[in-house]
Amino acid sequence: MTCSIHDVAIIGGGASKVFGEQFGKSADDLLFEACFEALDDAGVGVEEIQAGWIGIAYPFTGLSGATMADPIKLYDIPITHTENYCCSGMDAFRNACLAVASGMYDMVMACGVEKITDQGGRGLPGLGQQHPVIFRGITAPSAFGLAFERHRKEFGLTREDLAHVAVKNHANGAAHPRAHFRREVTLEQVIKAPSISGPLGLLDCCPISDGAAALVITRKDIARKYRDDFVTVRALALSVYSNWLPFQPDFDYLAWRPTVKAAEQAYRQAGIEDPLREIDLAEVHDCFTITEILNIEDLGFCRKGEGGRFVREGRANVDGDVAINPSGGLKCFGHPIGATGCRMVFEVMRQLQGRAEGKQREGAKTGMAHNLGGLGGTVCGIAILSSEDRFK
Amino acid sequence: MAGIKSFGAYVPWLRLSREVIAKGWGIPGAPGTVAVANFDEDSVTMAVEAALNCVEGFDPASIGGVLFASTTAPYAEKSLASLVATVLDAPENAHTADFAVSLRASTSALLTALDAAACGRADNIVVTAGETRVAEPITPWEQTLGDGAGALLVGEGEGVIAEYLGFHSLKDEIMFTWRRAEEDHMLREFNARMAQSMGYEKVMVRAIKGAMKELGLSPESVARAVFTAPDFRSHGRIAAKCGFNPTAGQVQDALFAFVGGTGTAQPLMMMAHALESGLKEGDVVLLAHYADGADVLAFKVTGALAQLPPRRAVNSCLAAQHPLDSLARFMRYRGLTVIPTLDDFGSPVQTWRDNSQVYPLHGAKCNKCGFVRFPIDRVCGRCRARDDNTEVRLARRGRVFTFIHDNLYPAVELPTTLAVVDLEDGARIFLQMTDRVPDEVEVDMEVELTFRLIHKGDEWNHYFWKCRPARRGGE
Repeated sequence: MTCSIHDVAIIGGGASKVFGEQFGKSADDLLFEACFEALDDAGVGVEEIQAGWIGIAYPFTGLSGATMADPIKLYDIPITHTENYCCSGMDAFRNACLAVASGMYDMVMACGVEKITDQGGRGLPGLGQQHPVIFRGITAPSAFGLAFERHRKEFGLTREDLAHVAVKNHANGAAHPRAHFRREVTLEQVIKAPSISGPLGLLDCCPISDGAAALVITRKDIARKYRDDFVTVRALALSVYSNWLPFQPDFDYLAWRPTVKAAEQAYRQAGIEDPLREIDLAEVHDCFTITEILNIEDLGFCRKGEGGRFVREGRANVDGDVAINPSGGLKCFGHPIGATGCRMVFEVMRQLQGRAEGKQREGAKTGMAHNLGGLGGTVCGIAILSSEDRFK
Repeated sequence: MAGIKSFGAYVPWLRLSREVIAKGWGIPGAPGTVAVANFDEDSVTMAVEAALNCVEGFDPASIGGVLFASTTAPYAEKSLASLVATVLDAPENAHTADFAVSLRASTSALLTALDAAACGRADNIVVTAGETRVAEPITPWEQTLGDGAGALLVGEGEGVIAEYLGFHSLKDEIMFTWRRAEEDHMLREFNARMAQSMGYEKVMVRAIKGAMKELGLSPESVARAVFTAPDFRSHGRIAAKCGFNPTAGQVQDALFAFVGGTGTAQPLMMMAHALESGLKEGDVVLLAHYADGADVLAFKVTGALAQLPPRRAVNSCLAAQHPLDSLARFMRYRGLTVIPTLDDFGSPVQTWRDNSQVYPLHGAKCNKCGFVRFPIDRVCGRCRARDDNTEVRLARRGRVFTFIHDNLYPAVELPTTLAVVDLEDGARIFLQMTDRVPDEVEVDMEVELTFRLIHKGDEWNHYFWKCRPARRGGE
């Protein structure tokens, strides 16, 4: 039969019981929790899964599809390990959806995991291509934080604007039972926290967390046999730019180019013309507060340069114009790299089903997951999901 | 006619006041400062900067030799002259040699270069010396030693600004100061009074007088006496004994007030300073340097000195300075306190492959559309021309496009200022910023590039370029 991505449905989702410093758990433990929760949520037996994709960024977490196979004994089927920086989980989901859309498989699973706290050191362990001296000194927060001075100069972005993002996301995360940070913070606390990189203080940065998430994916026509409230895919975009952002004279640090390009793809696929009116909620990649401000602009929820005000005025709150990170985002869940994309899709699925575990966006029908990777925006994956297209 | 064709010097930006040292230990302090290499500087990075200042305006392809001298070279086995020559973009067949062990390594190198130029074996030989000696805390040496580098370009022909007249050399077997090869990181001495009077004063005076006699010079006929000394007091003691008049400007300042004793680098720095300070055609200059013996060289200034375009040497470096207000930081830079090692990644294979990008900082210029970029890649990012580039030397100045002060990168000192810089040739490059006051960094500020130690991952020194706020000098 001829399929498209619009025939793809998610019928089950799961995640590790809690995100955070899971010193007592291995990557296998986290995957066990996430994958079986997803399978049980779908009512699908592990033996029904025909193919798998697993997002992992760090070799120390695990390599190859066997990292997914072993903890749930999913042997003898094709399983692919996807790596695309912080977008590894979203790319696992995307490939799983494409496989179903291709007609090759009927029932597949996408998952992602990262076990970061087995490592030492401060911040994220090194990731990505390395040269002994060229590009030395860059860190995750500085790679994104380099946008601040440009935005300040061009648009008057302020330190307070950044802090408002943390306050909003902490308020959301405080309500989520799986979040790493489950406490609210004040503007003053955010601003007074010690600097990690430039204007980005401790509370502007997502924490170092372990976690896993998993999704069971099938075709719409099959989904109906398992549940009525499945959600469907409206868009699956991926855009890859360069590993060498600070060496690209055309890169202006005003927008994360892969987000802009992926959003163009996604809105075209979904037929969305006015994202602010047509999208109810978005889990966006807020690895750092400044990243979320650029994301909001890059995704077209407001004009370039107005992202700070958009958050400050409460338009990104759960009951605002569009709920940005109703789960609390990376800010509160941390960023177990390979897991994040799948965690976002899982959250969006629950929101669209009206069974969000944290704050629920009332009447959510269309939701977005936005996953950004690389040192300042090398790769971006976007999924748009819907609860309205089930019976189309 | 062989002689000196150009000069350059480098004094690090940080100056530690002797008062800060004295307060730190509760001991009496002398006035003035000592120059301190920043944590990303060593003898070879400073020698590189002095050499770059020296060859400014000269075609790198004309460099016939690079001689590096230091008793504090970062390697016991590994040529640094080859590194300096590579950074300078000297041709492959330029003669490279390293001079070490003796504090007279620099004058040894200078004599070697002058001989090579005089016999016509080589022209445009860069002689450069850098020094970062470590004194034992709470000794007078701690307030005496300073860091710095000097460079002279030696050659023959019309461009000679100071003609080489001849030399005189004396040996002196004595335990003055020493560091044992295996055991010592810090300077050792036994009886300073004996060493100063029986070593430096006696032998240096005899050598200077011997040189003047051999070359038919009287003390009055010497326009500038450039003689080094192990310390400030000793320097003051011998001028009269040689027949020089320090009050008449005949004696070149030994730089102890603000720089300190720079060992091997001292004679080259003092000579560079002399050449930028009022010498005129026909002036005779004596350059004398003592360390377990003395080398005395005589030069006569030519009319070409006035034609040499201005360049950065001691004067401009003295103007670019910043107080180092902490003895603890000084000790950390000197390796006298335990600092966390930066567990960074290194591959001698990758660095070797990218030699021309890492050291002389070459980029690619598209032959079709002119796009200049770094690192070198094979497809033009603007017009997609394939394998149609010319390798070019990137501009050494530019403007900050954006920056951040990062506290996460495991550096010797925080914050690490990271900058995205638009170079004057249009290339954009990511660099760490050094020798800056964080609060003064801003978008669009003008910066210049400086060659620094980036990290010591995998047990070897990784050098590359950083940027720093643009300085004056050499205009």
